[in-house]
Amino acid sequence: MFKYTEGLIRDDACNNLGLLAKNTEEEVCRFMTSCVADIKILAESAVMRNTDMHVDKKLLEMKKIQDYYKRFEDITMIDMKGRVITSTTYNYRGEWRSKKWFLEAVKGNVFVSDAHVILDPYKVVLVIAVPLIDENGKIHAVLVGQLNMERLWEIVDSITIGNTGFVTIMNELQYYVAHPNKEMLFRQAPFDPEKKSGVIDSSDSDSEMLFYSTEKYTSTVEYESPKWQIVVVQEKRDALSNLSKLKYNVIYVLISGLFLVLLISIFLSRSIVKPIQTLIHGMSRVSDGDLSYKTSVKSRDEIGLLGAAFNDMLMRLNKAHQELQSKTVELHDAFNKISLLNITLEKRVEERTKELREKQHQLVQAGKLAAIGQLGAGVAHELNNPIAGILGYTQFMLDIVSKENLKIDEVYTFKKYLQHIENGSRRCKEIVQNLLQFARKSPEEVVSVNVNNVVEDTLSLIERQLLVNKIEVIKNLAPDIKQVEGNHGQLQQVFTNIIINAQQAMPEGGQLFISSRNENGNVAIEFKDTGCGIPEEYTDRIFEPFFTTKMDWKGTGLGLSICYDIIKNHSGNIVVDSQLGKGAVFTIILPVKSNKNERINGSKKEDGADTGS
Amino acid sequence: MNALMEVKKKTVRILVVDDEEIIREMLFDTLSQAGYTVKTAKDGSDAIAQIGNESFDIVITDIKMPDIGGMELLIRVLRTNPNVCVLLMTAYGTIKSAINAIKLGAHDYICKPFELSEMKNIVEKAANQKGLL
Repeated sequence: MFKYTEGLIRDDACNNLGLLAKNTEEEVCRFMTSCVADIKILAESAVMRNTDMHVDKKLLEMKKIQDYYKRFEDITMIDMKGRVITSTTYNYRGEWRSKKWFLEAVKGNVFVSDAHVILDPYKVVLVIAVPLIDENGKIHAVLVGQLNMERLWEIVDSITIGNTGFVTIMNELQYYVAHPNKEMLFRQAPFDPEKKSGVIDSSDSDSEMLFYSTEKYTSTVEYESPKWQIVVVQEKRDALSNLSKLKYNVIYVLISGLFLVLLISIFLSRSIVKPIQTLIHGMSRVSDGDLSYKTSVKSRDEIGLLGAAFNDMLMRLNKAHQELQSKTVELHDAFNKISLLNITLEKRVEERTKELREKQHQLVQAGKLAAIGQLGAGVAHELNNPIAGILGYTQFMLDIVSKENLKIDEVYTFKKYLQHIENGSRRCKEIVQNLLQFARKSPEEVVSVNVNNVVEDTLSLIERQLLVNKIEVIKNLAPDIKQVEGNHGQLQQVFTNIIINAQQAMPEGGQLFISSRNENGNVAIEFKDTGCGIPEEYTDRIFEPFFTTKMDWKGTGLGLSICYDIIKNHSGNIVVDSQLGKGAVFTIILPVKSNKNERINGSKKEDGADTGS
Repeated sequence: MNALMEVKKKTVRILVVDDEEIIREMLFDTLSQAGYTVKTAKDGSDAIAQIGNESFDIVITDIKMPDIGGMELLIRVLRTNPNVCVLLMTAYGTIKSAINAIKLGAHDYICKPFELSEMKNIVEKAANQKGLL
């Protein structure tokens, strides 16, 4: 770029020089033309043309011109033979005829000679020769003006270009005829334009030649008459001072540009890189777990937004983190509380379980009492009869004994009555004992039990009640039934409950089939009635606590649920199969007692259960 | 007076109905001793059969019996012979049904266990009211 710019500036400088040369040439030309015109006007004046006019008069005219313009050193009139007719100043008597200007003027041409030196006094002059034509148009003399070159030099000297530029005029022989340095006059010019290599032709002027020297630029204009070259010279450095200025400018611009770029990059680094670095730093801090960090990015651009977003994110993260921490703490506390609660809860559960077990025992007991209550009517009725008998016979005997005339035969009938009383009393005792046994039997006591005996004991309390309710009991008990491990009273309670339910299911009477059998290592006891049955949708719920269909508050809804619990405690199972209107079948499955236990416990405890039968 | 009374009592025919033997026996012994003509039936159907064969002035029956209960017997007896005096024996728990029975035409009721004198009084009262004595 610089090279290109240099080229432009060099072209410009050369153009300037060429223009200057042209201007100078024009100036020279104007001056020369004016000088030639002076002489020509003089030559064409009437005085000078008139051959008859006296020479002195003509001289007077010539001097007038010379004085007027003060640029001619001398004006001389020469006749056709080359002899001086008259002269204003020097009056030379030289051999003019051989002079070129003379020859040309004689031919009728105006001629301007090259500059030359005249001695005594030393002057540099040039000659303007103009033919003098008389009224007949015949050349009769030549008018010669010697022009002082100093006038031209003044023009040339007045032109300055830059610091080093100047204008010179060279003649055909390459001698300086005008030069700012007067010592250079009539010295040969140091270069020959035609021989110089690296000449660059100017395209817009054929008369101008641009050539390049290592040090100087020159521009030359040919002048026609005389054959001069007007050369404008300027040192390259000077000519290109603009360029170097430009160069400096460029460098300045470049440096300031660089500085600006530096500033901008600093600014950018401050406004982009720094914030990003800060952000990165912040992010690494955050990733290391320091959530309290806050970036100081506060610019208004996207980075600032990013920073703000980052801060916002951090704030939220921090908040979330704090929340998390507080939640964690809360959770931890809660966990501690929970584990504490757990411990207390376990304790309480243990206590509760204990309580519940007690309650269950109580419930079983209550259920038992309820069953006893339900048995009550039957039992009372059953008791009533023997008691009524006993009472009656006692009174009967008392009546007999209280007679005044007691016959001995009558006393003999007493044996029969006493027999009735004894039987009645024994029945009462049995009923009461059975009831007490049922009521008293400890729920905890686990013995070897024959379920057939339990069935018989149960029926002994309830049989009559069933009888009066027109329920026929049909027993089919396997004589080889195996022993089960359990509680006599509890099993009796279960059976009583089921039988009473059956009785209630058959208000118009019916049949109750009770059977027992050995079955796959279990003992199955089946109670089948011909009652109203249980709706199928209830059969799943019938063992739930407080489930009852007895809307008249006959039942607590606990009976069968207690039965279920009791049988489950015996590791057994109780199922019901029923359809509405087709009676119900309750089947109780109890595991057969293992031989090992049987041997240990033996039949000793069995005796206690047997007493009820 | 006593002799007349005894003769009169002898004409009063009583049927004792109870499934409990001891009660039957005791009432039989007591009422026979008192001078009445007493027969016993061990249950409702037995009683109906006997009532069909011969007439009774008083029927003493237990309410709760297997087969045919006292109430049903009462209804059946009154249907065939409205003049029969029916006395009901009841346990304390079934006193409500005894009251119902009176509404249905029973003459009286007595709660078990009862005093013999009580029973004899009720029977005598009933016999008197029927104009049998």
